[in-house]
Amino acid sequence: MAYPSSSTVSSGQPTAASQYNNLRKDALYLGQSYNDSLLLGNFFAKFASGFKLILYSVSRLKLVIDTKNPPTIVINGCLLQMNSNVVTGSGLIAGAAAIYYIFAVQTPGSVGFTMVPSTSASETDNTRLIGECYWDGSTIRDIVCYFPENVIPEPDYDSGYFACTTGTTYAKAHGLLNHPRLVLLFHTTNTTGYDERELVTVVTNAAGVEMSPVGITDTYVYVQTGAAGAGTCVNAIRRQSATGYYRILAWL
Amino acid sequence: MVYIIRKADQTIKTFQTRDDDTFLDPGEVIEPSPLSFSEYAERLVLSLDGRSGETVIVPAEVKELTVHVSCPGEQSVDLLINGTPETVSLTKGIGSIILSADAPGLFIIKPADQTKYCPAGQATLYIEVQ
Repeated sequence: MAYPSSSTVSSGQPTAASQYNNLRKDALYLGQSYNDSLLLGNFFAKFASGFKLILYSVSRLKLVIDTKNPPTIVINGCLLQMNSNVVTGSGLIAGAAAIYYIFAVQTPGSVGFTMVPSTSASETDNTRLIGECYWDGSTIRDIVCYFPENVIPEPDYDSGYFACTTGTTYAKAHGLLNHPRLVLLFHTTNTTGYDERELVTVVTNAAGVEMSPVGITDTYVYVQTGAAGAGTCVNAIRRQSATGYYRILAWL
Repeated sequence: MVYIIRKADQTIKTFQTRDDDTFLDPGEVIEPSPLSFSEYAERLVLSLDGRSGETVIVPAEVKELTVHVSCPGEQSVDLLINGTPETVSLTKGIGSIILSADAPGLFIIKPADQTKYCPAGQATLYIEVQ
């Protein structure tokens, strides 16, 4: 369908109903039939771009401003953008360990927005959920931005941690119905997951030979540990282990 | 909640945070535990100098090693040291093993009853004396 539907009018020319309606159609549906197109406001209702959350201090988060791609978001139908850094308020992330959800908040009379953390994930009319982080009681960890720009997306499969030991095959159904293009296997020595994580690329087999432990099908990620020795679960310069914990991340 | 994978011989193969992604070998079963992942892991932890879940490498000149045993709620725990059974007495769930490290070699210390304690995770300790 031709776009725009409306055309210019001359000074003094009466505006016909069809001209008004075409103009309205251009404004609301980009000139398309309402059967074929969402309302422009509805189309952009969940728009967000240019978001990057980083640690500002141990208990505060900062939204980084890139002037070439500033944080831009639609909240409550309002088109909002920030051109200066946004930081969560002091003392808002505190107390017992919890997941905190990060909201962008629209304020009447402003074309910018503020940023507020909450232990509830529920949005309200004037808030949009933009990320989350884990507060361990003293430090913010694992910051996740829901609208990342130029960063690695969340994995399509995450096994969570599981205990590992020598001479064992672990078959994990990733549920992706295809071969993942990227699989990473991490090793940790305790259950917090916050110690040094080693990327597992090789383990040692019974003969002391280094081999990759990972196999990938369209159904499973297999991890097969070595049969005997000190590096059967991970054999890295920084750590050898025949026990500990694994976590698999996979991306399609 | 933690999920325990038990082999056909009833020994524990692993424990994990998910219950919906595991292919079970013939005879294996998955069973839930109300404990958290950390709580389950901490039922038996063997460590040397605060290190567990990894192979600890020590020089032979150290001579004597003290392995820390943590098994909350128990008065003793049976372990295998390079396959030899040894019962460790515990006080308030804490005990220790003294190992002689005169000569290079590998110590593998693991739970004797692997139907009760999973040998994976931090319940098995490898010490390599070099």
